[in-house]
Amino acid sequence: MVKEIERAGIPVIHVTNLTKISEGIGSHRILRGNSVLHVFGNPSLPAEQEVKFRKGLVEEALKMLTEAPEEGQHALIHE
Amino acid sequence: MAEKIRVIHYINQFYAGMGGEDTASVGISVKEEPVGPGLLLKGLLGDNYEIVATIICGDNHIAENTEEVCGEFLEIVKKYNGQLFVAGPGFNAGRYGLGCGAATAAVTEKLKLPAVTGLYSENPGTDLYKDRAYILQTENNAAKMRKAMKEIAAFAKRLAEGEFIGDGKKEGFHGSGPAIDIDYTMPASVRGVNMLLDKFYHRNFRTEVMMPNHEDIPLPVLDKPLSKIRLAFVTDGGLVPKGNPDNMVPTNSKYFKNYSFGEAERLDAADYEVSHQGYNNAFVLQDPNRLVPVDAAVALKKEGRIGDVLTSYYTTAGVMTPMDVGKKFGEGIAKGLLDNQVDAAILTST
Repeated sequence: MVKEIERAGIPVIHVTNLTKISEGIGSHRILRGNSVLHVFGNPSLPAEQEVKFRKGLVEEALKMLTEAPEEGQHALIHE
Repeated sequence: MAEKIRVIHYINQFYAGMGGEDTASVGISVKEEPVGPGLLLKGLLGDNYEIVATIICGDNHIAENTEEVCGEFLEIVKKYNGQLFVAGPGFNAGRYGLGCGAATAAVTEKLKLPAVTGLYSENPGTDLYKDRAYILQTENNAAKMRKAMKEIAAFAKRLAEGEFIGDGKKEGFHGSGPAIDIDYTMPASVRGVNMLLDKFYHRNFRTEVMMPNHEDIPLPVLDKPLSKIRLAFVTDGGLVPKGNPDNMVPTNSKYFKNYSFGEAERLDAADYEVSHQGYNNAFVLQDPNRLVPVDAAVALKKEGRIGDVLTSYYTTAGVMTPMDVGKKFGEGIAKGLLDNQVDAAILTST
């Protein structure tokens, strides 16, 4: 799905814990989520801090949208 | 009688009888006997082989810490003086397949021991490791365990006994198998000519060049600053409105859907459920923003950090969904995003 969205010319961040799989299929921008079970969550934090944590992760994803993989690299990956 | 060949077998928490998704995060444990499908393997390997250890590891644990977990596997194989390593088979199970491929590649490359697993062609672990390990072709369905294990056992015995192994097409493994050791003391020109002669005389030869098999799509770039973009969310984590109005299936999806959350500033747990049988949904059910982070995006919009957030999200369940179906979903979603003047997307995968 990532690749078809990219093919349409829309920058997309794939947020997942299985970053190797995403890299394997050829995604360009990959961000490791917090867990397979809660990609954008961190249940160990109190509710308020979890919202902050999530906002931080979304901000990181947004920043990656403005960036490109390094020269010679296929994907920009934040683990 | 000669000493038995010492076999190490790796399986996941499900095959070890520890549970399904609820226990998928358990760490490594070792049993000094065959467990689950290992009993079948033991019978098929026969009397000259002994499963001295079964490594059991939760699928989430190995998928999230692949390198580290494989390192621990190697220590276990060494500790038990393993002489043959068998993983799975993992059929079409994504995280387990990743574990089977990674572990088999690690044992092959680091310990130089005979190692084999079996996976379905579309298992993500297959593409990642088929050129680094022997991954036999299996069906996508664990009901074929007996057939798959029979082939794995036969192949494992040939490996352990040092028999000649032909190419993947002939032998029934994916890709090109373990990477070949290239003798760099011999100039490339000589290696090339030798390979050509082998081909000419119909002798077996293996290429040194691995071709990537994914299609390269140009890198899309934003044409406006973040503060002007409209952002949208896509997920394959199966988040659907309460009551699952479109009967979205939890596996082998046939379609994706686009659901509106309107002017909501966050997704309310009371309004959603999950139709996805491939992970423990408890954390997402508790707070759907953990999968589709609407709360964070709306807050960022209010702060002017991004221009707009599409008030609906795209969803499907990415379990056991074939690659070509996923591609079709992607095409449909991309069209929807363009129709909605979306500039960028965040896609979450569980």
